[in-house]
Amino acid sequence: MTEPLLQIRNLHASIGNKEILRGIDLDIFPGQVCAIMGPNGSGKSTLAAVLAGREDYQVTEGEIIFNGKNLLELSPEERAREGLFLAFQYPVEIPGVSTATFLKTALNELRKHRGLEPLDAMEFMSLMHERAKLVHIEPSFFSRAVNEGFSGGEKKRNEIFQLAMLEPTLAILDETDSGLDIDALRIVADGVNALRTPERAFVVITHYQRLLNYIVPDIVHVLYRGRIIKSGAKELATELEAQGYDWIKETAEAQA
Amino acid sequence: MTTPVSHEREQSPLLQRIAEDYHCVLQHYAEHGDPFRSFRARAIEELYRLGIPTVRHEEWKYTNLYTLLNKGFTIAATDVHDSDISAITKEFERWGHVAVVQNGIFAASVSEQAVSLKEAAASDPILLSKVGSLATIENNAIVAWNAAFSSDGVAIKQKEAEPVEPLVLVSVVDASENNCMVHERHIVDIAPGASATLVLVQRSRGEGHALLNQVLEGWIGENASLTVLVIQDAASNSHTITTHEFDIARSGRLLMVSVSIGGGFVRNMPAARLSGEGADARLYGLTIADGTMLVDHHTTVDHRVPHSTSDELYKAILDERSTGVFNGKIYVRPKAQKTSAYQANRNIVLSPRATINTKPQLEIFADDVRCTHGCTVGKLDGEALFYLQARGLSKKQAEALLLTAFAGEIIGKIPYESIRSEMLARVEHLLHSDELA
Repeated sequence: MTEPLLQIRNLHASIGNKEILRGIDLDIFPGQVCAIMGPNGSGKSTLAAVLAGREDYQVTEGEIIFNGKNLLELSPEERAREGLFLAFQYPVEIPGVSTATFLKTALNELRKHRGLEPLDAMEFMSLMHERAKLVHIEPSFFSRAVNEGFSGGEKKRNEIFQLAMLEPTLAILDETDSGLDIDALRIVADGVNALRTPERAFVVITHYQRLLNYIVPDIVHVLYRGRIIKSGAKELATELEAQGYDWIKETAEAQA
Repeated sequence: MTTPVSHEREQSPLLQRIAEDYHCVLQHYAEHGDPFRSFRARAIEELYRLGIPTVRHEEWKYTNLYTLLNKGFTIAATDVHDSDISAITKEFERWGHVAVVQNGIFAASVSEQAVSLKEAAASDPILLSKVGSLATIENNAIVAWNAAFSSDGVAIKQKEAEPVEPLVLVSVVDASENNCMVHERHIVDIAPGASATLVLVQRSRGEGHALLNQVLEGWIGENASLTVLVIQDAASNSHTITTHEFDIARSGRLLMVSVSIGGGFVRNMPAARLSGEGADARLYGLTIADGTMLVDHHTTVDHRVPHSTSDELYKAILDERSTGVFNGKIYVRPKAQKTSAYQANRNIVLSPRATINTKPQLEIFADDVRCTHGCTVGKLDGEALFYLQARGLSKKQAEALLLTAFAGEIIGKIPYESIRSEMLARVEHLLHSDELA
């Protein structure tokens, strides 16, 4: 069996004095699409934030191995250069920095890390044009400031566009479906599906099953109160949608 | 005429020194013909009356002039021997026609539009009467000091409506023998319908401290436009006090962009008087400071008639122990209905030891006006930094990118592509270097 791309062992994390993740164990394999579902406040976004290296959270116990490296020892930029990508739930507006400048700087940093030559202006532009088509982004976006004045749907599409440009091995989509109408959801999902490869794994964090109709997961984990309380095949998502989270909460509380 | 000696008893050591200097230059000027003689005499009296402002003076509360003046400056020798004007001209000709003023004396100009103020005023009573009529000596010690000591500068007359190349006015202060102070004065006259661009820069020679007290008075005629770029990028032993005052007639336009990224002590006092309907003034400034640099912008926008507009945006990035000051006065006179005035001051403080003092000062006497102002002081946006890092940029790169974007908004106001891209590259370089962030 192949080695996991990401191994999470007994992960505990807090913000301030409040423990949010309370012992997570999770393996993610190359090429896998793994859905993480759960009610609000269960720790889904905290898990994404800890993986990406947000400083507000303290990891108090456990370990994360990514690509054979101790992820918790790496800075956010080192994680990105190693191939980890977080599609933000709330993409940040960056006035004065164009999408092109931003992506060119980022991409060439990643290439440098991978021992590749930086792309020249021509190569970079043609790559942008090619990848933008995946998520129906107009070339006029390139010269606009990153996310500034973008609609919710445009921001989410821009996240997937960045994913397409930066070609990570592990992409974490943090509630990418929130605030999207059905058409935007389909565009985002089609983009993600087009980017699936045997090497690249996806962690799809979502509250609703809706997105998983379009991005079909290999495995579904349910997070509740900082722990994975149930795992199953894609049908688990449908079951959750039909029965709501109460059903699984009760099961979890009965066990505890 | 009152002699300075009569004041000696009540004078501070600094004023005594100024009195001695005055005595010396007066003789020297008299020997060479002095069109400003009677004006000079009134100015020195006003200076004695006012004294050099201390931090107790409201306008100088955050900017201690004495920390600068205590270095001890001698008044410039009016003759510069090692005049290397061609090198200066060469350095700046990429921006336009170059005029050079050395130690306050007109030295050279490659443009017919810019001539010696002293020579022009000697034969032109109308020009002479303009000197000191806009930047008045009354209650202004810096302008009075300048008026008492300055003997020359540049007179610029723009009659053409056709766009001409920018005029680059280079002020050279020779501090190779000792710390040196120079007073220079310029008059700018833009005829109705004409347009001109002026680039002001300063260079000093030698290892000593060089202090320039520059007074510029400009008249922008009906439908005329003037762009002034103040590029303050000199070494840390260069210090500058500027008083740039403009009168804008009906439908006239002023665009002023200051880029203060060098020098030790920089105090700018730009003022725009909107005296014709439809007049428009835009004042923009960027400060990037580190070390112990001080950059102080005291701006005045005076709406005197109905239907005039103004826009001000000053931004500062302050690191290490640097100091930034912004004081923005907006007057809206009782007659000036339908005024639209906007003012903003945005500051990023990178070091706990850096200081910013910011104060909007709006005095509005008309009721049907639209005036807005705002100021912010903060650090870089942590969310934006994390977002960039999460895409693979180092913290330093992310900071530099955000700072460059912040600064770029002001640089973007420079209407000449070649100067704009050069300044942007320099700002980028400065913000990516180890000295900042």
